[in-house]
Amino acid sequence: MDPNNLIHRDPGEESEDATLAGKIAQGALKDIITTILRWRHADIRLIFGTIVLLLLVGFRIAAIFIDVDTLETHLDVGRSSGFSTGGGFQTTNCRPVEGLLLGNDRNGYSLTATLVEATQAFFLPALLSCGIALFFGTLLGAIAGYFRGGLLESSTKLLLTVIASYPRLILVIVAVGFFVAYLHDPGRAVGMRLFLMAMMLGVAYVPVLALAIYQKVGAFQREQFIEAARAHGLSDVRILGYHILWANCMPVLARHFFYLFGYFILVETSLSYLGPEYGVPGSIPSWGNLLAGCSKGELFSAAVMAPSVAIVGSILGLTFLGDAIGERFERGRT
Amino acid sequence: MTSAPPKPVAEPGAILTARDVWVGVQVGKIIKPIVQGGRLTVPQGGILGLVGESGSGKTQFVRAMMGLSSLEPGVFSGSAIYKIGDQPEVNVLDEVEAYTPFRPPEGDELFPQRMRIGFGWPLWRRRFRKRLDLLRRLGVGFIFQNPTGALNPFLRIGTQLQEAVLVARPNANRKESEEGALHWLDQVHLKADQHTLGLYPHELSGGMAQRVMIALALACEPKFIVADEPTTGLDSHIRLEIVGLLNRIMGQGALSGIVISHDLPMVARLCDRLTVMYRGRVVEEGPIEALGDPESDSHPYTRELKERAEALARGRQKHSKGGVEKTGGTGVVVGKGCIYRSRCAIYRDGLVDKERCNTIQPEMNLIADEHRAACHCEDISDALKQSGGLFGEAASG
Repeated sequence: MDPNNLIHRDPGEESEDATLAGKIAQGALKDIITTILRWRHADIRLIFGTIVLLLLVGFRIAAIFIDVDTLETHLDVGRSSGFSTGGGFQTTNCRPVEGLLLGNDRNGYSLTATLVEATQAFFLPALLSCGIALFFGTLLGAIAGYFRGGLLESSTKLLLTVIASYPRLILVIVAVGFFVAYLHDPGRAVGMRLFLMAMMLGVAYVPVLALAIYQKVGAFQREQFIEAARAHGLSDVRILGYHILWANCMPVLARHFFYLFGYFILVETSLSYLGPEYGVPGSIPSWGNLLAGCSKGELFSAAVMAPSVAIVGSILGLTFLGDAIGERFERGRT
Repeated sequence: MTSAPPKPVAEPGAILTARDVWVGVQVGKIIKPIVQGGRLTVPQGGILGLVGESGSGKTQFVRAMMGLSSLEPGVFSGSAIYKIGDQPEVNVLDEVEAYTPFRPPEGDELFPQRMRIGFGWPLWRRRFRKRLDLLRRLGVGFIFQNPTGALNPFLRIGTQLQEAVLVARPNANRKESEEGALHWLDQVHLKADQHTLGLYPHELSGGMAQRVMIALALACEPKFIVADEPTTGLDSHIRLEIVGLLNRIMGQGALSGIVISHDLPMVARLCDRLTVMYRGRVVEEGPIEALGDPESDSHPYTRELKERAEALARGRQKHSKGGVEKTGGTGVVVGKGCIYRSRCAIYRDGLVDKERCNTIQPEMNLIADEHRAACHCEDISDALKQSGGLFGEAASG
């Protein structure tokens, strides 16, 4: 056999190679499609939620580097007055400017940059809110659940019920308004207002989490494996902290972390939309402020759609993520 | 004011001495006594078998002595004295009477009585807990009845084993505790590798879970161990393996313990002493050789248990007069007189003073060396020979 034959190619061979490659590509495509089709509901939610979370984190990091004051404004209006400060300001809005991705907002800044910048209004406060709710919710729920049948349980439950019986949004508005009224320095009031909003929403969310943890802890108290842990000589702190809270309440905590994160975005944008006396003042970019600045009757423009999609997308994504992670925790281990 | 009862003392050479333990459960307004005056003695280095039918209160009795009684009112009277190694005696149920609002029935009373509102109950519980912590540190282990329920479903078995290792050796680092976990897996004949450590309880079969449960109990390095029906729900092959395993572990002499079971052949293989419970009461205790021996005196119920086990082993389900025999149900009975008399062949055939059986609860009489039975009959083996078989005629109803 002539070794040269091995490298000799017939004219038809190349097209055969091409068809083979095509077949492989086809097979791969088919594989990908069937894989996607085979993905469960939870997986799709997990992927969507993760993308949303990564985008939010990315936006928040990018927002550090964006300084609104250095952005070029595309309107003739002077920048000295800052963001929306006057009613007449709103009429000179939203004529798309060439070269900007989503056009410009009513102040003449790039809408894309403002959307990214607006994540500053909720990201860290939402984390603070989640921290407060998770810490106090877990603490109170665990106390009430572990010391069942005592004064501690009934008093904790009474406190939680009192908090839960007041509407959450109104609690935030009233409490924030109350504290801000006593601040004499209006310059500090902006950051303070967000901080207070985060605190109050965290407190308002404590009963939801605490009751969920209370039920879990109470149910696990009667489980045999908790008894077995006790029989093996583990301490109460270890059993409550590790065996019940860490190992068994993680799905609940993860779920409520993302729920509350989304809920904070909802509250922040709603209050900002209502006006500077409720939410974030106009001088700070926020998705709620962006929506509030649009003229009435406007719907299918980038100025309305972009913040709306951002709000809906992030809340949906976070809720999906909370659900999917919670379910994954539960399904993977039982 | 009555004078204080004498302080209970441990029997010499016993690792656990329990006397007059009462455990109750609240049913409506009455307190149903599910363990009535339970007593047992576990010698140093010995294994005690606790047998009886379902619902006779075996598990609750032992749980009360282990501090695991989760019922209300739970254990409310009695004493359980542990003497482990050179450590001082610990009475787990010390002063229980002073703190609980319940007391055992006296005189004509049938049920335990509520005395006053027990403000001391939570206090006693706290002291109970402290004493139990001490006990755990001394080394008392528990093998649970239902292994899959007794393992935390959300934690890998490696984590749970390492925790148990850390209980025995609090100063061990991560690597040492992992080595300990692997060692105990090897001891119970499971594959000792990282893969096994990484399994969750739901990924184990019944036999594997039971072995992990045994490894968990052993990892605390106990000197006294309680195995609550260790072979229930396992097939005969796995059962043999588990019995062999327990035999090897407990037979080394360093470990004392209690084996709770229905399985008489297993108990005969594992244990040195036997305590028999019937409907909440201990009816007999003694060395394993003497119990159920046709030549020696033994409680009719123990004899019945043994004969039933033998009949089952022979595959003979039916008895002389045909039909499935009645056992008269299970569960706790409250009443005067001997609780076994409705099934007792000696009583049925009138070979004993029926009046005494009807009215007086028999004491645990010494019938031989270290062998006690709760029966009014003086010579049980003779009486049983005279009667027409243990359950022959009872079958006819």
